[in-house]
Amino acid sequence: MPTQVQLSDDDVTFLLTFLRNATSPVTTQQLIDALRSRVR
Amino acid sequence: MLSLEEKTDIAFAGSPEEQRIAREVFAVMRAQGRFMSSDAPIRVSLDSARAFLAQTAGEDAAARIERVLELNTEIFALLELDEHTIIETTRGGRVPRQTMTDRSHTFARRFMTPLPKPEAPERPVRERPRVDPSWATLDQLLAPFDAEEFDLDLPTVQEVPEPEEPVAEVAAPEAPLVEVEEEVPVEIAPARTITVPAAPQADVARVDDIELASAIAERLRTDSRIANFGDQWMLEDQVPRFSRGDLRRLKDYIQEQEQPLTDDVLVQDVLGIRPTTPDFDLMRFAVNFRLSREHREFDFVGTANQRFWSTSNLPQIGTTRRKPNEIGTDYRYLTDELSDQPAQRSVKSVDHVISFYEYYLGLLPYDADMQALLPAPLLPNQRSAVLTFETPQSYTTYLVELRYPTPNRGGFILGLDDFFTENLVPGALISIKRTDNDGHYLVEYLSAGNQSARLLELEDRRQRYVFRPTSYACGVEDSFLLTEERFPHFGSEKPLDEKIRRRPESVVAATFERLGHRSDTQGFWATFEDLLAAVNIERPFSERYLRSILENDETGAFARDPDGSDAYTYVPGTTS
Repeated sequence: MPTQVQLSDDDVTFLLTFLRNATSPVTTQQLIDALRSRVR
Repeated sequence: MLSLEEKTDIAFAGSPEEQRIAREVFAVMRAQGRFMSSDAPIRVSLDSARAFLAQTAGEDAAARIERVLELNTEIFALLELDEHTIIETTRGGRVPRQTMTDRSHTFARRFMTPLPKPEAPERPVRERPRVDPSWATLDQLLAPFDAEEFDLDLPTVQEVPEPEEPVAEVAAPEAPLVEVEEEVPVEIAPARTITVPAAPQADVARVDDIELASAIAERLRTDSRIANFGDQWMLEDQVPRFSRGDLRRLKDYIQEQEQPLTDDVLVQDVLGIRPTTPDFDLMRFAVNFRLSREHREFDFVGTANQRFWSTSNLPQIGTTRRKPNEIGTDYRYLTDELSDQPAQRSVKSVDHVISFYEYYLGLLPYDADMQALLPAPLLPNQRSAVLTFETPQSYTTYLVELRYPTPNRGGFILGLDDFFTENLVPGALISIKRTDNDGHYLVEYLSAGNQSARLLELEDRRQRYVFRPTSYACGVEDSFLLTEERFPHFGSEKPLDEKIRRRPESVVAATFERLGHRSDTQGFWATFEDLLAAVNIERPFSERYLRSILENDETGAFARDPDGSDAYTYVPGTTS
């Protein structure tokens, strides 16, 4: 099902950096928290 | 020991007597400098040499020493040092040379005064390839083909505004006037830009977690740089890789154990990594992600919390009395009863009455209630999930397999044969409760005092229904209990032929006849309660499904009995 909100290229770049710094698997909730904390 | 005799072949000048005196002087001086190098100056005072000659060769020889030295100036030299006359020679028999140490270049001075860093020569200007103006714009490219023929549906095209001239002119230093050849201006068509609709910025503050998780999954799952399994994410190149040997060992271990194994077990037993090590989570993710790429060798049959892996040729979980495909076909009606937008794991427990069909095959239907209790498939093409059903009353945990429904077949849960036969009878009421682990469930039955009754069974060897005295200690739903008093005509009946049982209407008709309640109109009648319990002997029927057959039969064979409270009639010869 297509969603209303879409991630921008900046969001994807940010998430890639976030994943690159992680040493173990990251959950979806952690990605969500990271996106939200970036906005603040 | 190596001894080397030094030979001296020096020709002294003078008379033989003077030569002898010179030789003696030279010999004593060589003795003085016996450990010196051949060209190092040997110095002896004239007085001491004269005293030596006076002792060894007599006063006459001593008086002639100065004359001898004058005759042999190539061998001896006389110096005046501190008011003393010194004879000087070398072991090589030559006057020592005046040596000058060249201190214009010393190693220490070289370090103390390093040369300045050499200046790098300027890089030559690299020529840039220039695109031929005829290739610069789409119009000129398409010109030979007559662009109108193609009728391209291009996105919105905008003219690029030309950059404005700078308002403030900077006073540039006057450059010397140089005559420059006039360049021939190249006419370039104005460039056109194609505006691509930019992805809207994710306003993450205004959306909830579920929608944001969906957006993340939608975007990142298509990105090959990112590894995903279930709810977990990593960069693909940071996920450890397995060799073919590792994969073979994983497969062999699952086959040795003859049952699906979780990722925890595989990481510990096959890869030898303990749960306390920091790499455990990483390796567990690697097992799940890498095995999910090996479609031919491994099947994921787990849930989000309990990730089971299976191989293609493991023995089937559950009954072998009937093929899973046939069971799925029997439950086909469930596909119409399931919710289109299921709320998986939205209920805490489900109560269920075991029918004869379910008891005989040791299974449970994946109906709407079970759909609300059990998890959805974790992976898109996942066909089944292995769950653990724990029965606290018998201290046993069963490995069961949930077969998810397909468009043509209903879903069901296999593997409860032993639990049913050891503890329950057809008609028993069980309760299935969820736990925090979405792959683990608690199954309980109502404990009751010991009861005895003659209950229906299917003899495997003779393939006939029989009533046998049975003792049981579980709570039952009386309407589903198949006692001899209630269904006496089922004794010694054979199971229906496959052609008959394939059609639900035929099974219902046969059940009317087996129940044996003749009506006044050359037909049969039966209460809905009896019918529901009895039709479920041959094949599964839900209450809704049975009622839809009775109410909507096109042949008109079935009809609601106007006299009974909830009864139906059947007139034979009208169904095919």
